Amino acid sequence: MSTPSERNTTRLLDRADSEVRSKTDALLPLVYEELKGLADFYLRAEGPAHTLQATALVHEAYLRLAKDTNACWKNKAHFVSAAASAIRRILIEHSRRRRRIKRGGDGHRVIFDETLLVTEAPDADLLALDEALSHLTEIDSQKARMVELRFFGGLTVDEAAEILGISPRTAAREWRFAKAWLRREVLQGDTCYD
Amino acid sequence: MTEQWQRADRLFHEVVDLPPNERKKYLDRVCATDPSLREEIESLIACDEGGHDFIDKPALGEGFSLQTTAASIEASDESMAGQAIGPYRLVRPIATGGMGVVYLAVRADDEYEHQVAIKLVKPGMDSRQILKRFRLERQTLAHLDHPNIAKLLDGGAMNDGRPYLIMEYIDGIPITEYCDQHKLPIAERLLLFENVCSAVHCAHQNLVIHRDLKPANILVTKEGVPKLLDFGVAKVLSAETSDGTQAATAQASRLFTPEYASPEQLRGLPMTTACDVYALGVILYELLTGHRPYQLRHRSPGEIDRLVCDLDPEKPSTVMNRVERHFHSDGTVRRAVTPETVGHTRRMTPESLRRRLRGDLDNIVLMAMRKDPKRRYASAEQLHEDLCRYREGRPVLARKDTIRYRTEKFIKRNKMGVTAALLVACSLLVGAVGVARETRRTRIQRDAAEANLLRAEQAELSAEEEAKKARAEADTVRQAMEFMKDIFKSPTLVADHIEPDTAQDILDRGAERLEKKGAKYHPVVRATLMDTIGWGYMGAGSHDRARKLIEQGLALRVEYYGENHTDVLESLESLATLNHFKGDYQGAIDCRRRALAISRELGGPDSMMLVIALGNLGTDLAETGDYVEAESLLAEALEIARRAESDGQKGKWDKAKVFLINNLAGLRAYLGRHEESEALSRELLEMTRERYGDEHPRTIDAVQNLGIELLRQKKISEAEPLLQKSLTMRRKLFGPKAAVVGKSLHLLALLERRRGDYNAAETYCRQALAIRRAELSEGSPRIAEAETLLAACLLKQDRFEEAERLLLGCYSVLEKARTRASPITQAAMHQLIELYEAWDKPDEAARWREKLPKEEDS
Repeated sequence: MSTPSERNTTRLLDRADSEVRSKTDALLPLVYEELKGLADFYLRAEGPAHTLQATALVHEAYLRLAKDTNACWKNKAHFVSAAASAIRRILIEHSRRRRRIKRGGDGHRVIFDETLLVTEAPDADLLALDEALSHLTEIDSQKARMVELRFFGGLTVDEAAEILGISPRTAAREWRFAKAWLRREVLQGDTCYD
Repeated sequence: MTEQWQRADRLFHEVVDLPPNERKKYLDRVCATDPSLREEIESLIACDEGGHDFIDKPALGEGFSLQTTAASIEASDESMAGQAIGPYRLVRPIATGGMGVVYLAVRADDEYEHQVAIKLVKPGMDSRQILKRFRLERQTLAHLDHPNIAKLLDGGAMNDGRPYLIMEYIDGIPITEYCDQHKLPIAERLLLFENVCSAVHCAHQNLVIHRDLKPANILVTKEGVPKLLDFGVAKVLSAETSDGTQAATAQASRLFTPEYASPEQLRGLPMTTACDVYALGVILYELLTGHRPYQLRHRSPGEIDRLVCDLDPEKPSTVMNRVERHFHSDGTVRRAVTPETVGHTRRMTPESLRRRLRGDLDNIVLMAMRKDPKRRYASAEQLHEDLCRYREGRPVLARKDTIRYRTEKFIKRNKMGVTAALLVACSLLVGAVGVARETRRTRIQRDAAEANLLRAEQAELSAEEEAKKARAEADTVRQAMEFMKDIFKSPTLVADHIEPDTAQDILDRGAERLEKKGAKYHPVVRATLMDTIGWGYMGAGSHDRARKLIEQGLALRVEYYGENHTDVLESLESLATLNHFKGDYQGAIDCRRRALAISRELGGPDSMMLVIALGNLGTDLAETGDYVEAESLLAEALEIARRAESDGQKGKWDKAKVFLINNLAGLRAYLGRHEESEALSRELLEMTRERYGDEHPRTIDAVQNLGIELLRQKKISEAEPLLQKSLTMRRKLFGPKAAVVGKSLHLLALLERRRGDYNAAETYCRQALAIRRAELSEGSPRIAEAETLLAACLLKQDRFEEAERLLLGCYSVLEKARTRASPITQAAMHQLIELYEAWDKPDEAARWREKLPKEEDS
């Protein structure tokens, strides 16, 4: 559990962004494990009930990790940051898996799986977005993290700004540019998903 | 980040909000020498303009926010620590789960530090429901006094309405970790586990099912004492409704841990003690082998269901060959589970461990984990006892040939007449208390408790009075349970052979004990036991003993409660059934009359209780031929049901109505009131269609009964399609050889005979006969009925020899099996006389006329 003094560390993050980054990276696999079940909620992410369940899952993961004294993290910012990346990874892996199963791609018989009984629409977009986002990370990692926090973590611009240790105004600019850029990449369809 | 990129970034923001004209001018100026930059900016602006929906909504749905979630937890945790709940002060969170956070708390006003665990229910759960449930359960849980069960001490609601439960605080570690840390050998693990079984059994006897048994809920203290946590918590926190839909809710949010959940639990079926037995099996599996039966991490709910419900787990003795790796967050191996490590933590070589597990332990674990709850150990105690047997080197129960299987064989051999007696005997035979009976008990108790609560709320009884009542009720049930257990625990039951006489033995032992030590028990309990054992005797065919006990129970109940009580009704029902069994219809009717008087008094003029009493008495009267009174009683009952239904209680009365309308239609037909009978039959058909659908057995019965009524009225062409339909549907539903198919065929034969097509009638009749001969035992009136009808058809076709042979054979069987006075025997004799007259053999006809019982001559 964080104490009030630790809470203030979020204010100091801009000084130690690289430290946060390394903590986030270390934390990622743990958060990833905890949040795996989110894929199911993503697939049914229609309506408030599913969002609530997804929230409950995050809630639990947070508490469990908070209890783990060995966890190499100190505060909310670490968690949120790692969790957003984890969610991205989970959703992408899930989409890939679904795509593979649907095609029977790896030589296995296509088996019935109720998780497949949902709309297929988001998948292609999501995979294209992921690819573009990876590209963006190479060019401008701050913008990519902005997108991760906003889109996968559900944060507002201001909240993301705090995590990234930048001013809200800068954050808004980063977001707007990243969004336009990603949209173009996805629309151009450099990567062709059938 | 390239310079090009930074420039694009800057320029984008400089121009993006400019009006198009100005933007163009600006770009003309700035990008004069760099057309590719301009192209870049323009395409980005185009994408910016149309991109309002693009990735604006979070991937996991609108409203999802990591920040809000994390912040709300931090805020709530910080405000929670140090907060006072009753006399306790929250210290720190110690566990989290699907239902909420558990805090360590200390009693603030005491000199010594008394620690408890307080579970704060997660916001969003139905607080009112939880509190209500907790009040209902409180007494039951207070009785859960077992050294290995952590007590649920209290519950309440905080200022914001969030409920909390206060539990005994246990400072310990999960049983699996404890065993591995201390490198406990198999024998010690088993002893520890036996304590767990006995705790679970104690809870079951108190009608508490855990529903989420897992190592994390079984902590072992420093002193080596296992303690079970959270007993009763699942029930208190579940949103259970009376029809058992809570299971579906639990499944939807997966409040339990799938690794230890039984197939029926995953399927969302109602939870019974068998779920706990399954979970115990999984825990034992893990304690013995170091592995879980199924690897469920990273699997979707659908996959988990498939694995657990369809796949048999690997045997413990072979699964320990498996190699499993658990990873650290950085990808390095945290722990590897190999045959060597598993052996090491049990102080054995892999090979000796394998040998140890092979055979009995394999069988015991797998028996507890069977997919079909009925084929598991019937109770945690039975599992415990098998482990004792194993420990003492005696033969264990767990074999391929299970006790349940043998019980079923036993029941088949005994062919007890009464389903209820069967149920009782069966549940008692398989050990302590069978699942079926227990769930019934639980339901009864819960209903009673709920009714109490309602009454209490209405009358504003004090909490103490309410508690006293609930405690009395729990005591009643518990006493009954313990008694049952004592009597029916018998070494002969677990031996390899169960002899047919055993049922009688068991009942005798019960009756004897009841006589000797009955005074020890509360009269209410004693009377219940008398009635139960009486039923048992009735089923086993000892009618005199049954009568003695049932009558004693009745007298005791009347003495304790007075005449007007539901328990007295229960005794009267037993007695009426017994009388009916013995053919004492008048005796049965007397009981029913008494029951009717009580029901009028107790239930009031519009009650289901009254409707049932009227229906039962009416039906019994109809059987003795008193159609007039029977008709008036059933009509009264039906009127009550109709009135109640029009008052908006639709649905609840359907079952009673189906029964009443059906019998009333039959009665009115006997009374010659065919128009009314037909109208009722049509109403019944419509009702069953609507309620059950076209293909339901009840609907088919209604189709048939309307057909019979039309046939009685000689409306042959109207009756035919109905009877044909009942035949087709029954063949489809029950298969071509079912007894009810025989009934349809027989009715069609009657129809053809009435029409005068004796050839067609013969064909149906032969088909019906074939089915009945295969299905029923020799001497059955159904066979004789078909044979007599067939003979009549043959006679009409002048096939006298065939008819004679058939009838003589039929008669000789009937004469032995029944008496000459029996109506079916007489029907056969009359048919013989008719035959000889048609055959022109007056001497034979006269000879048979002589044989008819005297009353018939007059």
